[in-house]
Amino acid sequence: MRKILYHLFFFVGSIVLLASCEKDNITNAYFEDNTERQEKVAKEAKEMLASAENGWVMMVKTGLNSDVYTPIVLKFDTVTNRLYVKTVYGETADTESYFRITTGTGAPQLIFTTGSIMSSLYRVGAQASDITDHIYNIVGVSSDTVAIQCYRSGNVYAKEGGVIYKMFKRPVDWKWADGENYFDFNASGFGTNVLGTASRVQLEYVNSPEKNRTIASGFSAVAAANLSTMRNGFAFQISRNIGTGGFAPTNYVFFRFPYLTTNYDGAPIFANNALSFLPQPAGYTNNVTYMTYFINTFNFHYLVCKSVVRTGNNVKMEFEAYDKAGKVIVKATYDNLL
Amino acid sequence: MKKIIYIFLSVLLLTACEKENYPLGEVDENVDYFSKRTVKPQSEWNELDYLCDSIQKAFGVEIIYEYTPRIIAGTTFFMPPQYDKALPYTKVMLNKIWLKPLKEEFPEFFAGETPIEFILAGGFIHFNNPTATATAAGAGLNGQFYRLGMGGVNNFSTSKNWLYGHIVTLYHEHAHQIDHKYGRGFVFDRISQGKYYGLAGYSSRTEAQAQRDGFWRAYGGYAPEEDFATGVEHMVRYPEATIKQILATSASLDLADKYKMVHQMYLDMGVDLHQLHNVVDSVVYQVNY
Repeated sequence: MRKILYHLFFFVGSIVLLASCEKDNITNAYFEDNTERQEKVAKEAKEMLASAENGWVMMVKTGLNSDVYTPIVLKFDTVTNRLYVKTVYGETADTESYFRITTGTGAPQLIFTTGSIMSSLYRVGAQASDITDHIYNIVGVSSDTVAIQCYRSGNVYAKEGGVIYKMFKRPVDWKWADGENYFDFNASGFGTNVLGTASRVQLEYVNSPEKNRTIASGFSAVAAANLSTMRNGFAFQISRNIGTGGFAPTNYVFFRFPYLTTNYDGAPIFANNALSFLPQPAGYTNNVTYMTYFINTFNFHYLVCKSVVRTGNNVKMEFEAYDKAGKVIVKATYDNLL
Repeated sequence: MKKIIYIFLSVLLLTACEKENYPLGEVDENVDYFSKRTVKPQSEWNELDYLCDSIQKAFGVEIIYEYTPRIIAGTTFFMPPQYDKALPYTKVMLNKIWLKPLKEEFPEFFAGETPIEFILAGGFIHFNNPTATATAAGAGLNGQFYRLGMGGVNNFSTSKNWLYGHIVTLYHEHAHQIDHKYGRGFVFDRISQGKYYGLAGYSSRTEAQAQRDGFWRAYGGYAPEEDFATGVEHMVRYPEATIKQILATSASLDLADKYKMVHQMYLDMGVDLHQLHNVVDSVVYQVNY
């Protein structure tokens, strides 16, 4: 009996052993038939990125406001891999930064490979943008959009894959993102009839006209003596946060707005034809208290300048801010004649 | 009969399992599957790419300043360096202060112990969260046999203080690598066994107190691996006379023992740490960059 059992056991065992060698049915037919697929997508992406003469726009959500999104204009030189970034938070530094399109991990990726405004936004975190990586998976390419997704979504245990950005070609009328600075308090003559002149600003909210209002306002100059204190508060500078960089030294102008029962001169940054009300962690009248009040009251954290028109002593300036799709959502009109 | 079955089964087993060798196709001999860098055509090279290429040819170290997922794991947060900092850093710190003197003065140590990869990090390592404000560890890339890296490249400055502090820290991080590679040794770990301060304790110790307790710096009292690395660091940072003075003042036999062990370990690898101090001191303070 024992012997029979032993033989039976041995026989069954042998069959199991033999059966276990059977090859499974997983094939690599898809990869074998599409060997060039990843390269093809990467190549398409590269051609698309190069095709937009004025660059591409990424609209990023900030921790400050759920309606107004911050525009980031990216230009890709696919011959040298140089990257050119412009946004409203500050003037871009005159240093080189680079990008790559790779298929290194299987999926095509757009990677901002060296330090730049893009890696600084990643480093600084949620208040300035919802960017959570400097590495992006290219998730879709069409004739007028390139969709990219942050490779990581935050801290070490957060899920893979962050926000998806549908980049669109920069609208032609976004003159503020061109090279010329026409809204620049450092330019000679620009402050004439503007700096120190009591003025008004008419605010128009496209989606909620009931919020429209006109405020007593006006620009005044920041003394050079205050500049270093104010610059020290800028969140994107290496001496404050070593993982950052990519912005030139910041410039400020006082901007008057109604604050509680009085008026207050906050100090936004002016750069790239825009005013940035991004709160600074420390510094001056642009610190968290005042700027957060400003943003909560007026519902925008930047204004880009569309035009500056001078007629005699009258100066009129048109500003705007954008929503997720890059459409105008806030309009502001400055007039120096009360 | 049984024997025949056994033989039959063995042959069957040996032959039956053979599968095709290359399910994804033939291996392309022209692709370097182990390179961490994504190959960049020479037509796209910038000044730093040419410099990195020259350094790799001269010293066998691949310098990496552009990050892709092959280089930085998804669970570790480093910020890539600014190009305008990475370029002078590579020129001055890596080429002139680290590699060139090392190869010329200590050829045996250079040949045996130089990592084959070096990664530049703009900021410092951020554990767990890319936006964490705490900046732990100068390098954090030292725990691998073949790869060294340094943080703080965005702070690059040609001031003597910065250059000196950085190259000394580089040798500290390199000591961690040596530690991983060869081990500190059974005896080393037992010299101060039970006397380490731990994470909570080291920051409240003064240097003099730490030296009396048998550590070069309070940080060295944190744990054995830092004990070892700070030993190397101290010998690179200070001249032999200062080291001997510390040994005399502290009157710590533990410190003296560890000094002898670490000094001898490096001698065996081809470098007298006191001479290395002289070289480092001279390339930083006697040359203007």
